[in-house]
Amino acid sequence: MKKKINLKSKVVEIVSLVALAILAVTYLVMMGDRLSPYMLQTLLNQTIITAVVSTGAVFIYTTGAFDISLGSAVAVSAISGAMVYNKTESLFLMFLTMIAVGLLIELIDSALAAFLNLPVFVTTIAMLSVLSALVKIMIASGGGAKIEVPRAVVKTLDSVGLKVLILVVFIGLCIFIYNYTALGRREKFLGGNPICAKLTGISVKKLSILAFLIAGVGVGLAAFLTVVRAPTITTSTASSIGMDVIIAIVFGGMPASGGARSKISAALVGSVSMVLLSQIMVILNFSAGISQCVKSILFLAVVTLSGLKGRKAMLTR
Amino acid sequence: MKLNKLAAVVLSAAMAGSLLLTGCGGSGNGGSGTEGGSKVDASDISDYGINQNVKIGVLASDLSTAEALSFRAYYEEYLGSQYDVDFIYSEQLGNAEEEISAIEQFIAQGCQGIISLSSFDRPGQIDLCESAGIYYGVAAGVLTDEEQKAYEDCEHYVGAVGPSLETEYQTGYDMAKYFIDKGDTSFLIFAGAAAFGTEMHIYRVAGMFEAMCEADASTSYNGATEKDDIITAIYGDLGVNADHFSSDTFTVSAVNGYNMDDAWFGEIAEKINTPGLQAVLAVGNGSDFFGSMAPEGVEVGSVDTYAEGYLNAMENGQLDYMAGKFSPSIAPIFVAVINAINGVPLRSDGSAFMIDQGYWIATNADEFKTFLDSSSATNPVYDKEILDQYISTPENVVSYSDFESFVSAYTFDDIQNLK
Repeated sequence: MKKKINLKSKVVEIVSLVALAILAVTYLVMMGDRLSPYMLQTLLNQTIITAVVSTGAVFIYTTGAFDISLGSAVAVSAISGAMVYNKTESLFLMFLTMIAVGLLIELIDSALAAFLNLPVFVTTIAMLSVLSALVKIMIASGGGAKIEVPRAVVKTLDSVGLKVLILVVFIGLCIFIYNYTALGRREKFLGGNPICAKLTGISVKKLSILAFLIAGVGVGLAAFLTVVRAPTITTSTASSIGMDVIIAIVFGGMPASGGARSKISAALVGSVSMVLLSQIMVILNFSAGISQCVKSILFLAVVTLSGLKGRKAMLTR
Repeated sequence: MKLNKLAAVVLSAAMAGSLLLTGCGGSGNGGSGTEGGSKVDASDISDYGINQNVKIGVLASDLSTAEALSFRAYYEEYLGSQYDVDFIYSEQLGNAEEEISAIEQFIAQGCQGIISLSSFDRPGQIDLCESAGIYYGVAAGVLTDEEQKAYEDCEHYVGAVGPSLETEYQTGYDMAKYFIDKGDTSFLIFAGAAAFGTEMHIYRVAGMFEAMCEADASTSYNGATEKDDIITAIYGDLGVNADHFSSDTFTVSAVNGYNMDDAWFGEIAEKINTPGLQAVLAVGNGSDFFGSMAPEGVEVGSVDTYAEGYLNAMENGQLDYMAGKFSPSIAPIFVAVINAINGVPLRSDGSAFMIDQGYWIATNADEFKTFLDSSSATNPVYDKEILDQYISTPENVVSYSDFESFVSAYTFDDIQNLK
């Protein structure tokens, strides 16, 4: 009986990887002769922003919390950075501003939850509303419907090499923190059993704030990548990121409740899977509405499978 | 567990590795690098759209207004049935990033050309199409002069056909002049997206003020009486500030923006019922926002498109003046994109073209109905018979000057003469 459960547990655990493999093979077969370096570059461009934000967000999800304001946070960081560039003409200051604003937003988000003893989802809903309004105010303050960084300036940064470097370094850093430091182990402990974690003397507030701060770095990097990709920022820039991150992380095999089975790889696996799925549906000429339905059904299936495992298996000890 | 980690790393590395291979970029589909209609060898001309299927992606930031629906019907229902063309529409685009993603999707779907009805970041669109080797044209709009200068030498940027800012200015001027000539002196100006810095709306409003300044020398806006100064003043006010208007003859009130909330509609209701108001001068849709609320005797001028709903408004006295786009106005850029795909790009002295195209003016229901009938997807004014004259074949290579003359003759009467 135990063996049966273990087998099922293994199958469920690798379902996201199997899904990624199936999607990759399907995409390659469907593209056939049309597969070109350009198409692969397109996959990278469509994956990278979600992957970076999701990687940082894994720390939040591991503690059993979630943040739906990440998209708006990216937008505010991007606008702040663009405004600084337009004042100083310094790309370095633009980059630093984006990281700093990303950290600041996530610090406020987590500090509100920690010190007012509010559930995190309450503060992130409030932040979503505040940040969305802030995006409109900041753009209006520029005297138009958009804020732009000169295309010629960011064009020099729009290279595959730089994007991959940012992704690899950030993921590498997160893997190190997550798997080889006390912080990562405590995050997982907190998500798996918050009461027990608290009783062992772990500071829940401190851990939550640190998790949000790491996500804030991801927000800042994503803001930078967003401006490099599309230097014209409007009120709806990055608006879909919040939902994309949730779907990608869960689709990548992250338990919805966080805890010990959380993994950084879920962010990358989920982000790549979602982009491949979107591309396949585009090739099949599915409308956006049908694509949305297919994604929702798959999302539910993955969550159900994860739940199945969670209900029947013991935590790894 | 180790197996899972290994598999995750291998799969991710495989994807990342394949992505890294793309470092050198390069064009996927490759542009043919043709030199212009007159220099092309007739035997090299392809017949996409005629005997071979071609896919054209359409970038759209609006899929629901009367204008958007009529444009789509013309492309999909009329041109789609007359030529071997599949028009693939984007979802409703809301920002520059979505425009880029949509172009990437079009490329994945094998589109050979893209027509843009979305203007969040046109330079970004051109850059992407150029790098992908996809032909790109702008319909119902043009680039700014600076953008055109910067991108006109891009091989895959075909050109732009639409109202220039000068035409927008003239459109506003003509509308105001029409009502001034009728003796009206009290106006409500709907400045629309002038409040957001949208140039075409700012220029239309400036044209309206200019007509008033011409009619009465005491008239000024924020002290300005000349075109450029008025435009600067409107930019500075982020729309129209009625307190900055001064005249011994005319009175002006204003509604800005498109908030479309209760407060905004309340403001409209209040201002349109101002005693003595004679006409609404709208930079956009006047009949929907103002026509239904306008009291007896208040006339409404609108800049929009020829659509069934507005004919009803004109017949019911909710619309009195229409400067409207006609849906087949987006045909010339289709012709240009098809020619480029077939290896016969139409170049203006070797560069991408930018050709001005104005509106049709209707001031009564009969005129409106005539224009509306000519805008339908079943019997459009630019029909296959006309368009075929400007699509190059081995027997008939179209020159740029012929094409320019064709596009520039956009008035209703001019187009009748093309047949």
